[in-house]
Amino acid sequence: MNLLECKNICKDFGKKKVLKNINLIIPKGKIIGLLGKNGTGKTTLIKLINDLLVPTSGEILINGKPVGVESKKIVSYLPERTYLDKSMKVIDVIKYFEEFYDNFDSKKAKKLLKDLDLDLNSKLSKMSKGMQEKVQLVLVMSRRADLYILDEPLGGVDPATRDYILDTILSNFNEGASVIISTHLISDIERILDEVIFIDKGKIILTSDTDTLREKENSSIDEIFRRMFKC
Amino acid sequence: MLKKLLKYDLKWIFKLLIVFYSIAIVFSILTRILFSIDNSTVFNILGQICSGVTISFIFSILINNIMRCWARFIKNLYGDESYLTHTLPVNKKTIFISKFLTGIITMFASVLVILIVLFIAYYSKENLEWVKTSLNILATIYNSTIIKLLLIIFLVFFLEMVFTIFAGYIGILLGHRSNDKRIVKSIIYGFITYMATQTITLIIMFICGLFNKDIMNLFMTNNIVNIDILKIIMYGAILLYTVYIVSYYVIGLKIFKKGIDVD
Repeated sequence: MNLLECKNICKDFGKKKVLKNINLIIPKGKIIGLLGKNGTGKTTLIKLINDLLVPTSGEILINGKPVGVESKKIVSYLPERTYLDKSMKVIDVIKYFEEFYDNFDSKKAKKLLKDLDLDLNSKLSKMSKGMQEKVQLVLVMSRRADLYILDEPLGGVDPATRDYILDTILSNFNEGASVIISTHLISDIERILDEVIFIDKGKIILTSDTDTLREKENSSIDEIFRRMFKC
Repeated sequence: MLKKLLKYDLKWIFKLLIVFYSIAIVFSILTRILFSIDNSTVFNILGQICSGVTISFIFSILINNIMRCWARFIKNLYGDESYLTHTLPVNKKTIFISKFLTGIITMFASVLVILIVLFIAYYSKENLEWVKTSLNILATIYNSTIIKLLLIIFLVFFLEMVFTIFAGYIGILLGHRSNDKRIVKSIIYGFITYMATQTITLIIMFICGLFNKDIMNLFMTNNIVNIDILKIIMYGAILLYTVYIVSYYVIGLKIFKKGIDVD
């Protein structure tokens, strides 16, 4: 059974058609890059998978079931924005995740936060945006999920932090799980990807195994991307 | 899961309301102390000031309670925090019930605090006698005890406030179905929902008036109304507000279960 299946997904915002007939299958145990320029529909697709938007038409299945309580138990999602209640302390957020997610490993989260020199008693409102994003990443990666969906995890951070984020993702995701990483910073994540999905103007224009694609085009994924999306 | 959600919703609302509750209680105590000092113009003036502050905080409690419930609803279901709320392994109905119960529980607490504040600030033998006399007349008219009458007044006021919160929820749900100017549309829809429901109340009253002269007099004359009619109106208000609140819940849940688009 496929981990994630999108069947003929369309999403309109008024007259604007943001996603046009998306068909997508995500198998288990892969790291997949959802790549595309800004505003091509990557976040919209991710939001649909996470029940944050209602599709205009089509169906999304996770482990063969429609998006719902069961799918949310196995999907760990990192949005592109800070989504925690800023009046909370880091320790409160850990408790919150512990209460709601059965697969949340609080020991792992505390260890990762300690490695980052983050005080558990710090208030989120007193932290910089970058720090808050790191806390979120730690929380998301501390879940033993089947599917991790990371929307622009590298957006707005310095190159050193990007490496830290990628290392955190690689060394912490659940064995056998799949990871979808949405980004336009391809050169940074290219090394960790098993598959790529290119999305443009609301349509999937390419799905391929990264090695096969590199061999076929005789260039890096970043170069292929630049060629395909040249303005 | 409902218990857990409710805990966080209530915590968020009460975090600020408790400050207002405390200030109102402190000023009610000051009012009481200052009014109890006889033959002092200065203390009397200070007492009047404290009394004014107490009353203004009573209004602040109500307004803040309503506004904070709406703010929580928007932030938690459509704002940044919605990215967490909607990805929790909790069904939509539970999330929705939590928001509705939050409105009811916080308003109940606020009305209760207001009663306590009023009691602290203004309880005295003379005032009690005045209240007793006034309520006794009403109680006789209502064929009920003073306590029962107080409960009826408390219930109508509480239901009216909960009704206002829920009308806002419906407005937010309808306003956020659009893709742009969601807050403006939420305010407009909320206002329309509130006014439409109140208009329905008037229509129901008018229809009742067709069968009851005294009720029709409310519409046709400005004479002193038969006091028995007030009794009918009070019980009618309890019934109607309850029906409206239940209807808002059912309609809201139906909209919410269809799924929402976060900001």
